[in-house]
Amino acid sequence: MSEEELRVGVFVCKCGKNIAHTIDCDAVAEYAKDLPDVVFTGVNMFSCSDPGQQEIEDKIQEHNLNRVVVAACTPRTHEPIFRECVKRAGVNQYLFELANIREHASWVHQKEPEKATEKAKDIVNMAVSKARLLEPLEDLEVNMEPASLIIGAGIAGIRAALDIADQGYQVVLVEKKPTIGGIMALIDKTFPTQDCSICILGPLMTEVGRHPNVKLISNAVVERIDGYVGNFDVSVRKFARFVDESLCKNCGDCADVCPVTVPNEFDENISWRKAIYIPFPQAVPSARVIDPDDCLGMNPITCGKCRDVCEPKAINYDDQDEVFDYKIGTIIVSTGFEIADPLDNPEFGWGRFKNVLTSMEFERIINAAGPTDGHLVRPSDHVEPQKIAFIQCVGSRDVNNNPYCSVFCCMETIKSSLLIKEHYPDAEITVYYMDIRAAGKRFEEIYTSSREQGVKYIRSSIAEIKEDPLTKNLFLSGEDTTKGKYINNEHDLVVLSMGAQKSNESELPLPLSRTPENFYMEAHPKLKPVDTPTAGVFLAGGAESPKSIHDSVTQASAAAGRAIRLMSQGMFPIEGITVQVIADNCTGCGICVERCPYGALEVIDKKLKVTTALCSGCGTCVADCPRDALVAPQFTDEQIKSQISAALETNPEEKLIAFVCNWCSYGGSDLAGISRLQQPTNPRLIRTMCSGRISRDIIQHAYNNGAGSILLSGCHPADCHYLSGNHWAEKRVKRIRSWMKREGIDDWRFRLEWVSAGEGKRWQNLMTEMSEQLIANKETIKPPVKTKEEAS
Amino acid sequence: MVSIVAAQQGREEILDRLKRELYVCFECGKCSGSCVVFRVKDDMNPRLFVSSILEASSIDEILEDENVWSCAICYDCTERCDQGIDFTHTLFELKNLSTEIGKQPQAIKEELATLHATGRTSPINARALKKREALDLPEIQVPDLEAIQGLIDRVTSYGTSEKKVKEE
Amino acid sequence: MTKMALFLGCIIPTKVPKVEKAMRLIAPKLGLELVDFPFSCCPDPTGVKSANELLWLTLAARNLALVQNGDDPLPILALCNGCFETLKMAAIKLQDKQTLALVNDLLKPDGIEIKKLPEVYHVLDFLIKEVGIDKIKEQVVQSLDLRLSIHYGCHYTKPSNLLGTEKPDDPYFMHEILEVLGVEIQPYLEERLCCGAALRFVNNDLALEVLKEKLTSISAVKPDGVAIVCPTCFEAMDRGQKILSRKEESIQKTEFFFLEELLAKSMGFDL
Repeated sequence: MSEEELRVGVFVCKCGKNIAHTIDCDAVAEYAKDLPDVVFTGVNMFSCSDPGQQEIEDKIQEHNLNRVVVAACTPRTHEPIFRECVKRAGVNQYLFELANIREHASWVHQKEPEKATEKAKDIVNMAVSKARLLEPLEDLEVNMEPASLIIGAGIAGIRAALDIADQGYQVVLVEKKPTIGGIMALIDKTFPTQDCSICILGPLMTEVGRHPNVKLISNAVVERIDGYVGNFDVSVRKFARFVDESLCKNCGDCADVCPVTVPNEFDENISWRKAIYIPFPQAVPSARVIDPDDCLGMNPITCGKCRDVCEPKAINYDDQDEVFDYKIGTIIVSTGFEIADPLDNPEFGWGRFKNVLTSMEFERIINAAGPTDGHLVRPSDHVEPQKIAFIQCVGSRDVNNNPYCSVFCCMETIKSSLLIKEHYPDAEITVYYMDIRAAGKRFEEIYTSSREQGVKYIRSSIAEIKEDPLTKNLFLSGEDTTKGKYINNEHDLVVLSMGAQKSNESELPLPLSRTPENFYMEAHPKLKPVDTPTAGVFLAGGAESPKSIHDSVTQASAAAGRAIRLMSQGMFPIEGITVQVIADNCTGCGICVERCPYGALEVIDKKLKVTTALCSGCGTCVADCPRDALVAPQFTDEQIKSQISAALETNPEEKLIAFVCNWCSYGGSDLAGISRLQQPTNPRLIRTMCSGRISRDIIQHAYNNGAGSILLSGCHPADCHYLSGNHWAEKRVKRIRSWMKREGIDDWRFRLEWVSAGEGKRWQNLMTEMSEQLIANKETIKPPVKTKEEAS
Repeated sequence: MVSIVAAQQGREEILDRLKRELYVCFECGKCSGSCVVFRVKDDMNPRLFVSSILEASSIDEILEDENVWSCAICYDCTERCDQGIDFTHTLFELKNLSTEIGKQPQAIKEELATLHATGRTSPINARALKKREALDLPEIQVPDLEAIQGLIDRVTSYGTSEKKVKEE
Repeated sequence: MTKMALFLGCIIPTKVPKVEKAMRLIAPKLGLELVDFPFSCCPDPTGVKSANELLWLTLAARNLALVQNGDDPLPILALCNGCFETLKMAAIKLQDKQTLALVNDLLKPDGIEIKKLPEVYHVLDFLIKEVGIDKIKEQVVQSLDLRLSIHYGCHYTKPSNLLGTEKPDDPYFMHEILEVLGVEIQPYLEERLCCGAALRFVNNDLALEVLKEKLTSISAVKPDGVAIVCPTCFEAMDRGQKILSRKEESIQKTEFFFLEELLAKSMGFDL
């Protein structure tokens, strides 16, 4: 700490009447005068107004203030304003502290002005105590590489790549398969407007393949991602293709002579391909590929036929994997989803009954470029089917497999029904459904159109499919739930409308969290739907959740926009509250490494290395460091303890110390204030960024100073702003309780509660309930065993 | 363990619990479509049965429905329920309760009587013994009948005595 | 030799003793030593359990207690779907300590107690998973010139979360064994339909209506017979076809073959 003399200024805001109506602001200012190191106090009408800010700036200069406390409203909205204000006056912006006497006092104790004023004094005292211990901090700026890595080149990856590349940034587009295009390249028509899928996708595939700013790497995986936003170090492994993409003319002579025939996975294994092949005619890159598992030429003595006939000499059996390294600024994960597994529903007999198809198999069969040239025939006898059934929700809405609705399947079936009707007007089509979900622009229209064309919709979740062994026709049994009747209907072709599930691809080398269903988790379901909690990493398409082409493209452009927004700054700012290490105290035990969901900490040779750009400043690692080797700037142990001590200076047994996280519980308390939800005056709130910051030691400090009761409150379990901070907070409770038991502190004096920023009413109830309990049991609280001096 | 629960829970508690287990039903009809009984007896509709339980105001009201016993115990409704409801077991509970008030079908009474009298449900007769002799099979090992009867009596009185204690 | 407790159930020893005979003949060939115990009724997982689940559980527990064998209970081999289901489900329910304590309390006056729960196997599941298809193959001396349809029965697989044998909607172990015995397998429409046996308690006509659907679809493919693993299904279907074939033109009587019987024949035994 600098040697300079502490000069604290306290500005009490009246907020018009918002504060002054209940609280005697002059009395608060008068009280603050006697607090240690306070050299100036003043009262503003509106501290945050231009004149208010000017007054603060003037007084800072006039009195040479180096710590500033404003007693006004919530830091969640006003801290940035006042930080800028003190910065203009030449004081480091982190030497500022807001005392919230509006949401936490004047608005919630409107009927008790005297008590509210006393509480406001406490709050100011807490803020001054903390302010005296504040240290100047600097925001960091890191370099921003003007390049994006896009993982997965289905429609989402392609769209995002083009958006970013068109803005002049470099793009590395990595695709696992030998061609880009994903699922969209395989389907026939698209809803709601029946465009030919490959006709609208093909040009984009070509464009992205030729774009001067796009480095397209197919048949490849991302092997390594190190670093942090703006500065990712990435390695991409391109598997040997055995065909030189730049030489291959895609003439097909090689496939003509290839003696090996295997099922074609790009045709859902219902057709055959050679060991040297092109997935489909419009594939990009437009070059053949050799599947080394099938090719006999891997042993040159056995076969070399394709190499012998290849005029441009593009084939090389000795081709090796290549690894490319890139410096990347932002990443978009667009790895897509997989179609659910029909074997998870054995009651439908897929695999046993030839005429039961998945929707993807149907797409290939109805596709003009598919194995039957678009003729709809049933696989058992290649005869045109007359009575076709679609079964909805296969692999969706089933708690035993995928519990969610896959969103696109209803519309896919409606589209397919129209397509069949277009080519085979006499075909009888029946759709068996639970609920038709046609929620989207023009969706209801084509649902209506399908019914107008005679497609029958029966509300029935089919129970079982049986095959007549003689005709290979299928019997679908179930209940027609609109009629309450058992049905056992005969069809000659059945299409299972398959849902989506997260692809089984190996983990990406990125610390991304997943939903219980294994899809990637967005940073916020409403306000940050394409961001991830890791700065600089975004989501697009089916990797985030099952979705249609339309939604994938929308999300891809959104993700591209978010990535460009970062890259266009050239630099990335990092808040100064990131964790600091006291190297002398650290033994390299690695407990903190486990606490960090961002990979910001690692132990190398028993030494802790912090990657500041990855740290979000939650402080969870600090709370569990057994050696006090970590410091959470702006929320240090000393600062938090000083707030506690200040809050408990008078009548500690009547005080309820509430530790609240910035994002949820503090927000909940603010909401209670904004809503004027009246509460008892006992609580004293201490804000940290995350509930994970509060260590057992801090709780003990509060009890040792005589706190009546304590609330530890954070985000609801799955909602933690820092992914897992609340989880670690919860883990400490057991040890806190056993310590309390040893010290003879009753169990009711500690509570852990999750309160969201939307739960103002719940906050009011919790404060009321805990305060009433505290008052009722006040007499039973024994004074702390340790004296205050010992405790501090 | 349902019979134990049935023996130890009051009827209102059982109704509440059954409803809690069935609330997740989204009436897709996979149970009824799977039900071999519904296939031949259209007033035994498991889907509608679930909704009538959810609307029932007492267990006795549910037990009025003779279809409590209309189950082939094939478990297909349980196996295929996308919401994880074990309706076969729900019916087992209801049948247990129905038996408590003596509403079980005659054939059930007969099977239990045979079980009590012989320790088995398919008694050994002369014809069977002759067949066995022809096949050179060893003598059938039979349990101590008195012990079996004692056990059956203990168990059948267990539930009621427990409940009495609870009711008092 | 693996020592196992043979659980015959009520029906096999009295009504189809040839199944017991076949099992006793093939056991040594498969490396099994079968031990007999004075078991009671399993009891029936449909009738008794419907009436009183605690009674069903306690009687099952009594049977499980008989094979205690000190601290090393003998695994139980059940030849009937119903017996298998009862004993296996009971063994799982008794993993709950409270339930086990209650049941042991009820057994106490007879001086018996479950200390450790035995393994319970269905003969079909055991043949594939424990004996193995290769070992069965080795013992086959005679190929069976038969075209058979197959009926597994509900209680061999369901409830699947407790029984853990095969997927109820796609069982294939019997298919696998019969193929090894040289049997040609004849699929039919209602392969997975329940025999309706448990409906006999409620309404015999209802039971027959269910069975009618099943037998009609078997008659349609005219197999040499139907391979089965459950004596309860056998009783229901055999008794039912006698009645139904008299009044339904679409139903012809067929022969039922127990798996044990087919195995014994293919291993050269004359029954």
